[in-house]
Amino acid sequence: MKSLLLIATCACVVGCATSSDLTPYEAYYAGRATASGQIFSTYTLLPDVTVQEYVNKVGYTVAMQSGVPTPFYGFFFGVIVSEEVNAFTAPGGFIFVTTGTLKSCQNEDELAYVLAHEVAHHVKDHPGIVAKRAKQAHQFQKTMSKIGKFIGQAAGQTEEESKDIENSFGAIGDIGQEVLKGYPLDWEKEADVLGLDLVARRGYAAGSALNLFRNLESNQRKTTGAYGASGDHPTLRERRKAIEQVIAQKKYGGTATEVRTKRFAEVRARIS
Amino acid sequence: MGETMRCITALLILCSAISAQSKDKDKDKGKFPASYKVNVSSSYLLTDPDSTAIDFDLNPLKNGDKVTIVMVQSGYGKLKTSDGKDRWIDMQDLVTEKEYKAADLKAEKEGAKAGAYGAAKGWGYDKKTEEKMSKSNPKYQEGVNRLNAWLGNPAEEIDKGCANSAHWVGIHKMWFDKKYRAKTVKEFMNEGGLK
Repeated sequence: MKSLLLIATCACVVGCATSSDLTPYEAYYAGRATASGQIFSTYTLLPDVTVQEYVNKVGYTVAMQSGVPTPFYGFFFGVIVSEEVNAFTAPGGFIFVTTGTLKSCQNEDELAYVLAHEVAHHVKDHPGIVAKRAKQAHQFQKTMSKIGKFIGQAAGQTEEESKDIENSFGAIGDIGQEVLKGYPLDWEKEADVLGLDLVARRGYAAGSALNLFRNLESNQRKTTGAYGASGDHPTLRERRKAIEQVIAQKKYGGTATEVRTKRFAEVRARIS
Repeated sequence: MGETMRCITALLILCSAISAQSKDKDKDKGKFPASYKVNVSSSYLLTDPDSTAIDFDLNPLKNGDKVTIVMVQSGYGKLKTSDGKDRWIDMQDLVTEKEYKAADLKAEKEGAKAGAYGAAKGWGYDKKTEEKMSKSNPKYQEGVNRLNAWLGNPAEEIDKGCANSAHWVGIHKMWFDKKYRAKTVKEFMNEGGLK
Protein backbone atom coordinates (compact mmCIF):
# COMPACT_ATOMS: atom_id res chain seq x y z
CA MET A 1 0.00 0.00 0.00
CA LYS A 2 2.85 2.28 0.97
CA SER A 3 4.55 1.48 -2.33
CA LEU A 4 1.36 2.16 -4.25
CA LEU A 5 0.98 5.50 -2.57
CA LEU A 6 4.59 6.32 -3.35
CA ILE A 7 4.28 5.28 -6.98
CA ALA A 8 1.11 7.33 -7.36
CA THR A 9 2.82 10.35 -5.87
CA CYS A 10 5.87 9.88 -8.11
CA ALA A 11 3.68 9.62 -11.19
CA CYS A 12 1.91 12.83 -10.23
CA VAL A 13 5.17 14.74 -9.75
CA VAL A 14 6.69 13.47 -13.01
CA GLY A 15 3.50 14.30 -14.83
CA CYS A 16 3.52 17.79 -13.39
CA ALA A 17 7.19 18.47 -14.27
CA THR A 18 7.64 21.53 -16.47
CA SER A 19 9.45 21.12 -19.76
CA SER A 20 10.11 24.65 -21.01
CA ASP A 21 13.28 25.08 -23.05
CA LEU A 22 16.36 26.75 -21.66
CA THR A 23 16.82 30.31 -22.83
CA PRO A 24 20.29 31.20 -24.22
CA TYR A 25 20.94 33.03 -20.93
CA GLU A 26 20.25 29.86 -18.96
CA ALA A 27 22.21 27.73 -21.41
CA TYR A 28 25.17 30.10 -20.98
CA TYR A 29 25.10 29.70 -17.21
CA ALA A 30 24.56 25.94 -17.49
CA GLY A 31 27.66 25.90 -19.71
CA ARG A 32 29.59 27.95 -17.15
CA ALA A 33 28.54 25.51 -14.44
CA THR A 34 29.71 22.54 -16.54
CA ALA A 35 33.01 24.23 -17.37
CA SER A 36 33.67 25.39 -13.79
CA GLY A 37 32.51 22.30 -11.97
CA GLN A 38 33.66 19.55 -14.28
CA ILE A 39 36.06 20.63 -17.01
CA PHE A 40 38.29 23.12 -15.20
CA SER A 41 38.40 20.93 -12.11
CA THR A 42 39.89 18.10 -14.20
CA TYR A 43 41.74 19.71 -17.09
CA THR A 44 43.94 22.75 -17.67
CA LEU A 45 43.89 24.97 -20.71
CA LEU A 46 46.81 24.76 -23.09
CA PRO A 47 48.82 27.95 -22.41
CA ASP A 48 49.62 28.51 -26.08
CA VAL A 49 47.72 31.42 -27.58
CA THR A 50 48.72 30.58 -31.17
CA VAL A 51 47.15 27.12 -30.91
CA GLN A 52 44.06 28.45 -29.10
CA GLU A 53 43.55 31.21 -31.68
CA TYR A 54 43.94 28.79 -34.58
CA VAL A 55 41.41 26.35 -33.13
CA ASN A 56 38.96 29.21 -32.57
CA LYS A 57 39.36 30.31 -36.19
CA VAL A 58 38.69 26.80 -37.49
CA GLY A 59 35.82 26.44 -35.03
CA TYR A 60 34.17 29.69 -36.05
CA THR A 61 34.68 28.83 -39.73
CA VAL A 62 32.36 25.86 -39.34
CA ALA A 63 30.12 27.42 -36.66
CA MET A 64 29.26 30.39 -38.85
CA GLN A 65 28.09 27.92 -41.49
CA SER A 66 25.75 26.17 -39.09
CA GLY A 67 22.65 28.21 -39.91
CA VAL A 68 22.19 28.79 -36.21
CA PRO A 69 23.77 32.04 -35.10
CA THR A 70 26.11 32.28 -32.17
CA PRO A 71 24.78 31.50 -28.69
CA PHE A 72 24.17 34.09 -25.98
CA TYR A 73 27.78 35.31 -25.69
CA GLY A 74 29.18 33.40 -28.66
CA PHE A 75 31.13 30.16 -29.07
CA PHE A 76 34.18 29.61 -26.90
CA PHE A 77 36.59 27.04 -28.29
CA GLY A 78 39.23 25.89 -25.84
CA VAL A 79 42.15 23.47 -26.15
CA ILE A 80 42.76 21.51 -22.97
CA VAL A 81 45.80 19.48 -22.06
CA SER A 82 45.11 15.75 -22.18
CA GLU A 83 46.42 12.78 -24.13
CA GLU A 84 42.87 11.43 -24.37
CA VAL A 85 41.25 11.77 -27.78
CA ASN A 86 38.14 13.67 -26.87
CA ALA A 87 36.12 16.78 -27.54
CA PHE A 88 32.95 17.94 -25.87
CA THR A 89 30.26 20.56 -26.02
CA ALA A 90 28.78 22.10 -22.92
CA PRO A 91 25.60 24.19 -23.11
CA GLY A 92 25.90 27.81 -24.13
CA GLY A 93 28.51 27.31 -26.85
CA PHE A 94 31.46 26.09 -24.74
CA ILE A 95 33.43 23.63 -26.89
CA PHE A 96 36.58 21.90 -25.69
CA VAL A 97 39.06 19.77 -27.58
CA THR A 98 42.04 17.90 -26.12
CA THR A 99 45.65 18.15 -27.27
CA GLY A 100 45.40 14.38 -27.85
CA THR A 101 42.73 15.03 -30.46
CA LEU A 102 44.87 17.66 -32.20
CA LYS A 103 47.70 15.13 -32.34
CA SER A 104 45.35 12.52 -33.82
CA CYS A 105 44.32 14.79 -36.67
CA GLN A 106 46.43 14.67 -39.81
CA ASN A 107 45.29 17.99 -41.26
CA GLU A 108 43.04 21.02 -40.75
CA ASP A 109 40.15 19.31 -42.52
CA GLU A 110 40.08 16.55 -39.91
CA LEU A 111 40.18 19.08 -37.08
CA ALA A 112 37.39 21.05 -38.79
CA TYR A 113 35.31 17.88 -38.79
CA VAL A 114 35.91 17.30 -35.06
CA LEU A 115 34.80 20.85 -34.29
CA ALA A 116 31.89 20.67 -36.75
CA HIS A 117 30.70 17.54 -34.94
CA GLU A 118 30.67 19.50 -31.66
CA VAL A 119 28.97 22.50 -33.27
CA ALA A 120 26.37 20.06 -34.64
CA HIS A 121 25.57 19.01 -31.06
CA HIS A 122 24.90 22.66 -30.36
CA VAL A 123 22.74 23.05 -33.48
CA LYS A 124 20.65 20.08 -32.33
CA ASP A 125 20.55 21.58 -28.83
CA HIS A 126 21.83 18.34 -27.29
CA PRO A 127 23.70 20.12 -24.44
CA GLY A 128 20.58 22.19 -23.71
CA ILE A 129 18.42 19.08 -23.52
CA VAL A 130 20.91 17.42 -21.16
CA ALA A 131 21.06 20.51 -18.96
CA LYS A 132 17.29 20.69 -18.86
CA ARG A 133 17.00 17.03 -17.94
CA ALA A 134 19.67 17.33 -15.25
CA LYS A 135 17.83 20.27 -13.78
CA GLN A 136 14.52 18.43 -13.84
CA ALA A 137 16.10 15.37 -12.26
CA HIS A 138 17.54 17.55 -9.52
CA GLN A 139 14.22 19.23 -8.85
CA PHE A 140 12.55 15.83 -8.90
CA GLN A 141 15.08 14.50 -6.39
CA LYS A 142 14.42 17.41 -4.06
CA THR A 143 10.67 17.00 -4.30
CA MET A 144 10.88 13.25 -3.83
CA SER A 145 13.10 13.68 -0.83
CA LYS A 146 10.47 15.85 0.82
CA ILE A 147 7.66 13.47 -0.12
CA GLY A 148 9.70 10.48 1.05
CA LYS A 149 10.14 12.06 4.44
CA PHE A 150 6.46 12.87 4.67
CA ILE A 151 5.30 9.37 3.64
CA GLY A 152 7.87 7.73 5.91
CA GLN A 153 6.66 9.70 8.88
CA ALA A 154 3.00 9.17 8.04
CA ALA A 155 3.50 5.41 7.66
CA GLY A 156 5.37 5.19 10.93
CA GLN A 157 8.73 4.38 9.32
CA THR A 158 11.94 4.80 11.24
CA GLU A 159 14.24 7.69 10.37
CA GLU A 160 16.65 5.20 8.77
CA GLU A 161 13.98 3.88 6.43
CA SER A 162 13.08 7.42 5.48
CA LYS A 163 16.75 8.04 4.75
CA ASP A 164 16.80 5.04 2.38
CA ILE A 165 13.95 6.54 0.39
CA GLU A 166 15.77 9.86 0.30
CA ASN A 167 18.91 8.11 -0.95
CA SER A 168 16.99 6.37 -3.71
CA PHE A 169 15.67 9.70 -4.86
CA GLY A 170 19.15 11.14 -4.55
CA ALA A 171 20.33 8.50 -7.01
CA ILE A 172 17.78 9.79 -9.53
CA GLY A 173 19.39 13.20 -9.23
CA ASP A 174 22.84 11.70 -9.72
CA ILE A 175 21.72 10.04 -12.94
CA GLY A 176 20.76 13.49 -14.18
CA GLN A 177 24.23 14.77 -13.32
CA GLU A 178 25.80 11.73 -14.99
CA VAL A 179 24.16 12.57 -18.30
CA LEU A 180 26.43 15.61 -18.58
CA LYS A 181 29.42 13.35 -19.08
CA GLY A 182 28.43 11.98 -22.46
CA TYR A 183 25.75 11.94 -25.13
CA PRO A 184 23.79 8.90 -26.30
CA LEU A 185 25.05 7.09 -29.38
CA ASP A 186 22.15 8.19 -31.58
CA TRP A 187 22.97 11.83 -30.82
CA GLU A 188 26.60 11.18 -31.73
CA LYS A 189 25.51 9.67 -35.03
CA GLU A 190 23.26 12.65 -35.68
CA ALA A 191 26.16 15.04 -35.01
CA ASP A 192 28.44 12.93 -37.26
CA VAL A 193 26.15 13.46 -40.24
CA LEU A 194 25.43 17.13 -39.61
CA GLY A 195 29.14 17.75 -39.01
CA LEU A 196 29.88 16.33 -42.45
CA ASP A 197 27.40 18.72 -43.99
CA LEU A 198 28.94 21.70 -42.18
CA VAL A 199 32.49 20.99 -43.34
CA ALA A 200 31.43 20.10 -46.89
CA ARG A 201 29.47 23.32 -47.31
CA ARG A 202 32.51 25.30 -46.16
CA GLY A 203 34.73 23.61 -48.74
CA TYR A 204 36.65 21.30 -46.43
CA ALA A 205 37.27 17.77 -47.67
CA ALA A 206 34.50 15.80 -45.97
CA GLY A 207 36.33 12.56 -46.74
CA SER A 208 38.88 13.54 -44.08
CA ALA A 209 36.35 12.44 -41.50
CA LEU A 210 36.86 8.86 -42.67
CA ASN A 211 40.63 9.06 -42.14
CA LEU A 212 39.99 10.44 -38.69
CA PHE A 213 37.70 7.55 -37.79
CA ARG A 214 40.14 4.98 -39.20
CA ASN A 215 42.94 6.45 -37.07
CA LEU A 216 40.71 6.43 -34.00
CA GLU A 217 39.80 2.82 -34.60
CA SER A 218 43.45 1.82 -34.68
CA ASN A 219 44.17 3.84 -31.51
CA GLN A 220 41.02 2.77 -29.73
CA ARG A 221 42.50 2.55 -26.27
CA LYS A 222 43.10 6.31 -26.03
CA THR A 223 39.71 7.38 -27.27
CA THR A 224 37.06 8.46 -24.81
CA GLY A 225 33.76 10.34 -24.74
CA ALA A 226 32.39 11.19 -28.17
CA TYR A 227 35.09 9.18 -29.94
CA GLY A 228 35.09 6.25 -27.58
CA ALA A 229 31.31 6.35 -27.18
CA SER A 230 30.54 2.99 -25.64
CA GLY A 231 34.25 2.26 -25.74
CA ASP A 232 34.33 -0.51 -28.30
CA HIS A 233 35.49 -1.01 -31.86
CA PRO A 234 32.11 -1.86 -33.37
CA THR A 235 30.73 1.53 -32.28
CA LEU A 236 33.42 3.50 -34.07
CA ARG A 237 33.26 1.16 -37.05
CA GLU A 238 29.49 1.53 -37.17
CA ARG A 239 29.76 5.30 -37.12
CA ARG A 240 32.47 5.29 -39.80
CA LYS A 241 30.34 3.09 -42.05
CA ALA A 242 27.37 5.41 -41.57
CA ILE A 243 29.31 8.50 -42.62
CA GLU A 244 30.92 6.55 -45.47
CA GLN A 245 27.42 6.01 -46.85
CA VAL A 246 26.51 9.68 -46.45
CA ILE A 247 29.69 10.79 -48.24
CA ALA A 248 28.92 8.43 -51.12
CA GLN A 249 25.24 9.41 -51.29
CA LYS A 250 25.85 13.14 -51.20
CA LYS A 251 28.98 12.88 -53.35
CA TYR A 252 31.03 14.96 -50.95
CA GLY A 253 34.46 15.57 -52.41
CA GLY A 254 37.31 18.04 -52.02
CA THR A 255 40.93 17.75 -51.00
CA ALA A 256 42.92 19.50 -48.31
CA THR A 257 44.81 22.47 -49.79
CA GLU A 258 48.51 23.06 -49.28
CA VAL A 259 47.90 26.22 -47.24
CA ARG A 260 45.53 24.48 -44.85
CA THR A 261 47.83 21.49 -44.44
CA LYS A 262 50.83 23.76 -43.81
CA ARG A 263 49.16 25.98 -41.22
CA PHE A 264 47.83 22.95 -39.39
CA ALA A 265 51.28 21.31 -39.37
CA GLU A 266 52.77 24.48 -37.86
CA VAL A 267 50.22 24.52 -35.07
CA ARG A 268 50.48 20.79 -34.41
CA ALA A 269 54.26 21.06 -34.16
CA ARG A 270 53.78 23.37 -31.17
CA ILE A 271 52.09 20.67 -29.11
CA SER A 272 54.17 17.68 -30.17
CA MET B 1 -40.24 21.26 -20.87
CA GLY B 2 -40.59 23.43 -23.95
CA GLU B 3 -39.30 26.40 -22.00
CA THR B 4 -36.27 24.41 -20.88
CA MET B 5 -35.49 23.54 -24.50
CA ARG B 6 -35.80 27.21 -25.47
CA CYS B 7 -33.40 28.13 -22.66
CA ILE B 8 -30.88 25.51 -23.80
CA THR B 9 -31.14 26.69 -27.40
CA ALA B 10 -30.63 30.32 -26.33
CA LEU B 11 -27.64 29.28 -24.29
CA LEU B 12 -26.14 27.39 -27.23
CA ILE B 13 -26.60 30.38 -29.51
CA LEU B 14 -24.95 32.63 -26.95
CA CYS B 15 -22.01 30.21 -26.58
CA SER B 16 -21.47 29.98 -30.34
CA ALA B 17 -21.61 33.81 -30.60
CA ILE B 18 -18.94 34.14 -27.90
CA SER B 19 -16.84 31.45 -29.57
CA ALA B 20 -17.09 33.22 -32.96
CA GLN B 21 -16.05 36.48 -31.33
CA SER B 22 -13.00 34.92 -29.73
CA LYS B 23 -12.09 33.29 -33.06
CA ASP B 24 -12.20 36.75 -34.68
CA LYS B 25 -9.95 38.01 -31.93
CA ASP B 26 -7.42 35.23 -32.69
CA LYS B 27 -7.69 36.06 -36.35
CA ASP B 28 -6.77 39.68 -35.60
CA LYS B 29 -3.77 38.44 -33.67
CA GLY B 30 -2.54 36.69 -36.79
CA LYS B 31 -2.74 39.75 -39.03
CA PHE B 32 0.64 40.93 -40.26
CA PRO B 33 2.68 43.15 -40.41
CA ALA B 34 2.63 43.27 -36.61
CA SER B 35 5.03 44.74 -34.14
CA TYR B 36 6.74 42.68 -31.45
CA LYS B 37 9.55 42.96 -28.92
CA VAL B 38 12.43 40.50 -29.12
CA ASN B 39 12.95 38.56 -25.95
CA VAL B 40 16.30 37.25 -24.82
CA SER B 41 16.04 33.90 -26.57
CA SER B 42 16.02 35.66 -29.93
CA SER B 43 19.66 34.79 -30.49
CA TYR B 44 18.22 31.60 -31.94
CA LEU B 45 17.32 33.52 -35.04
CA LEU B 46 17.24 31.39 -38.11
CA THR B 47 18.80 32.68 -41.27
CA ASP B 48 17.28 32.02 -44.63
CA PRO B 49 19.40 30.39 -47.35
CA ASP B 50 20.26 33.76 -48.88
CA SER B 51 21.67 35.33 -45.77
CA THR B 52 24.70 33.80 -44.12
CA ALA B 53 25.50 33.68 -40.45
CA ILE B 54 28.28 36.19 -41.09
CA ASP B 55 25.64 38.69 -42.20
CA PHE B 56 23.76 37.95 -39.03
CA ASP B 57 26.86 38.46 -36.94
CA LEU B 58 27.32 41.88 -38.47
CA ASN B 59 23.73 42.84 -37.88
CA PRO B 60 22.36 40.99 -34.87
CA LEU B 61 19.09 41.58 -33.11
CA LYS B 62 19.28 42.41 -29.46
CA ASN B 63 17.02 41.59 -26.58
CA GLY B 64 14.31 44.24 -26.46
CA ASP B 65 14.60 45.22 -30.13
CA LYS B 66 11.35 46.04 -31.81
CA VAL B 67 10.70 43.97 -34.92
CA THR B 68 8.00 43.99 -37.54
CA ILE B 69 6.83 40.63 -38.76
CA VAL B 70 5.55 40.69 -42.31
CA MET B 71 4.32 37.12 -42.52
CA VAL B 72 4.24 33.88 -40.54
CA GLN B 73 4.91 30.40 -41.82
CA SER B 74 5.07 27.19 -39.75
CA GLY B 75 5.59 29.13 -36.55
CA TYR B 76 8.38 31.29 -37.96
CA GLY B 77 7.93 34.99 -38.60
CA LYS B 78 9.57 36.72 -41.54
CA LEU B 79 11.11 40.07 -40.79
CA LYS B 80 13.09 42.60 -42.75
CA THR B 81 16.25 43.99 -41.21
CA SER B 82 17.81 47.38 -41.84
CA ASP B 83 20.18 45.91 -44.45
CA GLY B 84 17.12 44.96 -46.52
CA LYS B 85 17.51 41.20 -46.01
CA ASP B 86 14.78 38.80 -45.00
CA ARG B 87 15.26 36.77 -41.85
CA TRP B 88 13.11 34.26 -40.03
CA ILE B 89 12.51 34.23 -36.34
CA ASP B 90 10.79 31.67 -34.16
CA MET B 91 7.55 33.37 -33.16
CA GLN B 92 7.97 31.87 -29.69
CA ASP B 93 11.02 34.11 -29.28
CA LEU B 94 8.84 37.17 -29.56
CA VAL B 95 6.66 38.82 -27.00
CA THR B 96 4.40 41.83 -27.05
CA GLU B 97 5.74 45.07 -25.60
CA LYS B 98 3.53 44.57 -22.54
CA GLU B 99 4.77 41.00 -21.97
CA TYR B 100 8.36 42.10 -22.48
CA LYS B 101 8.08 44.85 -19.88
CA ALA B 102 6.47 42.47 -17.38
CA ALA B 103 9.16 39.80 -17.87
CA ASP B 104 11.97 42.32 -17.71
CA LEU B 105 10.58 43.86 -14.55
CA LYS B 106 10.20 40.46 -12.95
CA ALA B 107 13.78 39.54 -13.92
CA GLU B 108 15.03 42.78 -12.42
CA LYS B 109 13.16 42.10 -9.20
CA GLU B 110 14.81 38.69 -9.05
CA GLY B 111 18.14 40.48 -9.15
CA ALA B 112 19.17 39.14 -12.51
CA LYS B 113 20.06 41.69 -15.13
CA ALA B 114 20.93 41.24 -18.82
CA GLY B 115 17.23 40.66 -19.54
CA ALA B 116 17.29 37.42 -17.62
CA TYR B 117 13.91 36.27 -18.75
CA GLY B 118 14.81 32.68 -17.94
CA ALA B 119 15.92 33.47 -14.39
CA ALA B 120 12.56 35.04 -13.72
CA LYS B 121 10.96 31.72 -14.57
CA GLY B 122 12.83 30.21 -11.64
CA TRP B 123 15.19 27.79 -13.37
CA GLY B 124 18.42 28.32 -11.58
CA TYR B 125 21.02 28.25 -14.32
CA ASP B 126 21.88 31.86 -13.60
CA LYS B 127 24.40 34.18 -12.03
CA LYS B 128 22.74 34.04 -8.63
CA THR B 129 23.00 30.23 -8.53
CA GLU B 130 26.61 30.37 -9.66
CA GLU B 131 27.42 32.74 -6.80
CA LYS B 132 25.64 30.52 -4.27
CA MET B 133 27.45 27.42 -5.53
CA SER B 134 30.80 29.21 -5.44
CA LYS B 135 30.26 30.27 -1.83
CA SER B 136 29.40 26.77 -0.73
CA ASN B 137 32.23 24.97 -2.49
CA PRO B 138 35.83 26.29 -2.73
CA LYS B 139 36.68 23.81 -5.51
CA TYR B 140 33.80 25.09 -7.60
CA GLN B 141 34.89 28.67 -6.86
CA GLU B 142 38.35 27.76 -8.18
CA GLY B 143 36.74 26.44 -11.37
CA VAL B 144 34.76 29.67 -11.80
CA ASN B 145 37.94 31.72 -11.28
CA ARG B 146 39.75 29.69 -13.92
CA LEU B 147 36.81 30.04 -16.27
CA ASN B 148 36.69 33.81 -15.78
CA ALA B 149 40.44 34.06 -16.31
CA TRP B 150 40.01 32.19 -19.59
CA LEU B 151 37.08 34.29 -20.71
CA GLY B 152 39.07 37.41 -19.93
CA ASN B 153 36.77 38.88 -17.35
CA PRO B 154 33.68 38.05 -15.34
CA ALA B 155 30.48 37.58 -17.28
CA GLU B 156 28.95 40.87 -16.25
CA GLU B 157 31.89 42.71 -17.80
CA ILE B 158 31.67 40.97 -21.14
CA ASP B 159 29.25 43.42 -22.70
CA LYS B 160 31.52 46.33 -21.86
CA GLY B 161 34.25 44.84 -24.02
CA CYS B 162 37.11 42.86 -22.63
CA ALA B 163 40.75 42.04 -23.29
CA ASN B 164 42.28 42.73 -19.91
CA SER B 165 44.73 39.95 -20.50
CA ALA B 166 47.18 41.16 -23.12
CA HIS B 167 48.29 37.87 -24.63
CA TRP B 168 44.73 36.61 -25.11
CA VAL B 169 43.64 39.84 -26.77
CA GLY B 170 43.19 38.33 -30.25
CA ILE B 171 41.01 35.49 -29.02
CA HIS B 172 38.93 37.70 -26.75
CA LYS B 173 38.44 40.17 -29.56
CA MET B 174 37.29 37.36 -31.82
CA TRP B 175 34.83 36.12 -29.18
CA PHE B 176 33.26 39.42 -28.27
CA ASP B 177 33.75 41.78 -31.22
CA LYS B 178 31.42 40.41 -33.86
CA LYS B 179 32.67 42.63 -36.67
CA TYR B 180 36.28 41.74 -35.95
CA ARG B 181 35.32 38.06 -35.80
CA ALA B 182 33.52 38.15 -39.14
CA LYS B 183 36.52 39.89 -40.75
CA THR B 184 39.12 37.57 -39.19
CA VAL B 185 37.25 34.39 -40.04
CA LYS B 186 36.63 35.58 -43.59
CA GLU B 187 40.37 36.24 -44.06
CA PHE B 188 41.18 32.84 -42.57
CA MET B 189 38.73 31.17 -44.95
CA ASN B 190 40.03 33.02 -48.01
CA GLU B 191 43.60 32.07 -47.15
CA GLY B 192 42.61 28.41 -46.86
CA GLY B 193 40.56 28.36 -50.06
CA LEU B 194 37.27 27.93 -48.21
CA LYS B 195 33.90 29.41 -49.09
